[in-house]
Amino acid sequence: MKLVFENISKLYGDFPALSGINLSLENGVYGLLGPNGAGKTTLMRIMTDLLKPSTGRVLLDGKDIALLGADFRRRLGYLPQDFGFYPNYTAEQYLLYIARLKGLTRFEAKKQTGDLLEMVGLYEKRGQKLKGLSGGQRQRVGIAQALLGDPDILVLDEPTAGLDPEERIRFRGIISNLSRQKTVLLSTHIVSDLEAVANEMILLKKGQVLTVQKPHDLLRELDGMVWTVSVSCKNERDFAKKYPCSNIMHDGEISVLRMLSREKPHDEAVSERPNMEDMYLYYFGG
Amino acid sequence: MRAEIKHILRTPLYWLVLIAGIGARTVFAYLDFKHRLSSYWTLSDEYWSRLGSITVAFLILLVLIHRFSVDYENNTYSVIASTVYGRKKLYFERLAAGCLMAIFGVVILTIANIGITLTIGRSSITPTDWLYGFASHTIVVIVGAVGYFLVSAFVCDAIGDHPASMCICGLPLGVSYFINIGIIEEFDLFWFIRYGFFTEFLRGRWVSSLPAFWGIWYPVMIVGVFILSIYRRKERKLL
Repeated sequence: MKLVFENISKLYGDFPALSGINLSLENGVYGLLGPNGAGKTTLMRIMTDLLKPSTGRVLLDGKDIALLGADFRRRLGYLPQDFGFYPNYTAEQYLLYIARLKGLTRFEAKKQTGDLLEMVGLYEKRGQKLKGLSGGQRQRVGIAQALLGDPDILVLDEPTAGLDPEERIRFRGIISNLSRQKTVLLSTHIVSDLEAVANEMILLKKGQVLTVQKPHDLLRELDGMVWTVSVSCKNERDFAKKYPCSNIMHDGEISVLRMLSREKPHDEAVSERPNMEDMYLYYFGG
Repeated sequence: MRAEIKHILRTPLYWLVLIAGIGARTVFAYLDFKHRLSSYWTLSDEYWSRLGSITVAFLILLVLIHRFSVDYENNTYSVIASTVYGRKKLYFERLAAGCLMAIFGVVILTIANIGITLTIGRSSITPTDWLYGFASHTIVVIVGAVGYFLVSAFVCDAIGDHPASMCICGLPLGVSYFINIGIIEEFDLFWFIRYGFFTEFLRGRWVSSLPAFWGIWYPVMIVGVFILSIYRRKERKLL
């Protein structure tokens, strides 16, 4: 299965939300990373045929998804950024409703609803109304509905928003298990989530793709560029102005800065292994 | 469609409107029997003329058309529209379910009115043609309820806003109750408002003033608003 973005652009009036996006996605997990307003949600909405691109098209195995219509949606699972719900439906009722809209038979709908609620840890709360669930629990219902019908293509926009660390670990496990047979496009601001599950990272800035690489390749580019240095609180400001800092920790009178620099920024600076936040800062900071 | 019908049946407001309408009818029937006995059966036959038609209108505007804006209000349209049947099929299922539940509501009110009228008026003699007359009015009401629901649903779907749709669709209907047909002239504004927005149908009457004109107006209105709804759906990629 191959999903191809062919010269995708999207204009809102004169504002180019996306420009000349060319991507090719196959089985695996793709992390979509970028700052607010980069165009991630716009790209995902185009990919799910909810938004018409100004130019270009999305092809699934060579066929335009806009023309495939329901045949494309049969293979799609989508969790939008602002996941809405019917407040008076229970978790189970909501999933059964979506399952039927996805074309599942009553038996399959019942079975998959139970299994997915179990998977996301909400089976005990299946009879509770959605308005009575916490934000994180509702988000888990959202993840479950995206997985209904065992779709080949999963588009998850900020799926871990509102989830606590334990839930995020569980989510990573779910995605890792699915990635072998599916194409998963996952956007998040929590870079550590992507590092753990993404096979490839797509970096998006101001509507354009900066690069598409594996996470460790992205980190390898930053080898020798990440430093920690301890300075007095008085000098902290000067360093923070001069070098992009991914973290500043205060310990009494001392500030420990984690920064990016091609050269050693201070005699006592210690070279560190780059992490995903350093990478984010390198590509999107300032 | 079963899911859509179930949803409407599980909506408390649907039953609240029906119960309120039936409750009001009970009170009026009792008062009519006590104070206007000579007109009791005529007043019952004219049930659709006021209370019945208002109850059906509330049912349609408050409950049935809400399904067409609920996905915008709850921000669920992205999820719904990304499913196999969440666009065209769901749209037509909701229309069909709404039509059926409008008819069902009319049937409930009909049975209730007959039951209340016969129960309260059991000590007086039932006119022989009362039931036949009332049934013939009811058939017109069913036609009107379906038509009014369709137009209101198309408006609600096109603009995606339930309160605004209630105002747009409810205002001409509401104003028409205050128009005195004795003083209006053909083709003036009040004539148009009175006859052009399903009021007569919901009141159990075919339009008597220039029926040929309305025979063209109503299909054009229904088709026109339907096209608007389809156009808006295509713009939003919901079809």
